[in-house]
Amino acid sequence: MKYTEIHRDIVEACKAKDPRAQKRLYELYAAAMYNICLRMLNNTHDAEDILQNSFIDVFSKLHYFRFDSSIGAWIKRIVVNNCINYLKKRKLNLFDTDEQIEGEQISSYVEQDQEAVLNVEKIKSAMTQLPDGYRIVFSLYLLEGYDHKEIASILNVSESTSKSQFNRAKKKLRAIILSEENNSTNARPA
Amino acid sequence: MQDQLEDFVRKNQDAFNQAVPDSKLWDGVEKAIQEPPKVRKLWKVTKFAAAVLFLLLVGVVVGMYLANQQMSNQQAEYNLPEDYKETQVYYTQKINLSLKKLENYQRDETLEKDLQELDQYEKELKKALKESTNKEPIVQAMIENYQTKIQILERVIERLDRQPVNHKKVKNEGIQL
Repeated sequence: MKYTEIHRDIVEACKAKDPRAQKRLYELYAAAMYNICLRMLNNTHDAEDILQNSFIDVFSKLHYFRFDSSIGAWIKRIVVNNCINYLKKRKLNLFDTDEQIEGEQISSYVEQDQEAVLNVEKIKSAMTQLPDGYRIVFSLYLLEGYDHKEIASILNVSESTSKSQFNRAKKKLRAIILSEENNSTNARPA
Repeated sequence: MQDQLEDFVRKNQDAFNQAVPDSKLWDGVEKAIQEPPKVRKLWKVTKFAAAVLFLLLVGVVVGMYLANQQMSNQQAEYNLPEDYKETQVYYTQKINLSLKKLENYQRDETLEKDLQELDQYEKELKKALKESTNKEPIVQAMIENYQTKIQILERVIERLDRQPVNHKKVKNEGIQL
């Protein structure tokens, strides 16, 4: 079976407005999409709103879906676009100069630490502290599985902007993890 | 350009996707996606019904218009007020009866000329009746025309009747003789 045919029966039933199939499709993808929303929006309430709106979009636009991609990829793209649009509405420019300057400033400071101990919780916590533009590119590239060309088209920026933004995001993330590590070490009783 | 951080995140993808959405969220989605189709369906049905009704209405209006036109055409050709028709029949019968009575007699020239004139006038009136929209005065004129014809014919018959009475008497006397 071609990967684009995954869940074809459910999708066809959803196109025919079968309520049980609609619920099934939601159950299959809601959790994964919710995690994307959380990462992109950094806020439970917004993530819930966008998740709901995205699935409403999914069901209302499903007749446009022609199995050119997998249904999961198609839903993911709707979710990502809705998140970006929401953030753009809230903040005019995701890649404003402040963030870029900040990125330059941290670079030297981070080089020294290559040995930061990584664990999921630390990274997750650090991601929530990243500026929107960094967090989005970081998530889209490492966790949502888009390449820089795709990210460039999603964010309507150049591919090189996406790459440099990703590198800055990594540096910033390391810096955050490091500073938190230092804080906890310092806080420990001697 | 791989590095430690990238590798770590990629290897631990699943651990980054552990958040679970509130189960109530589906209710909102379900509500939103189930209401519009109903409305749309209803509108589709209404639209269809409206289209059918509209077509029916157009059909009825066109039909009525055509029937009306046909009727008015017929009216222009044949249809005169019902009481006029009766009058016409009455006078035509009376005239024909009188003419029949006169068949046996030699008609004199003046009578012939008068009758011809009246016939001619009647023809003109009938023609005018077909073309005119204001039929009332024409109908009146036609009735007057019939009356004149009858008057003339009756006078002639009256005159002739007096002669045959004499003639009959003579005939009877002849038989008696």
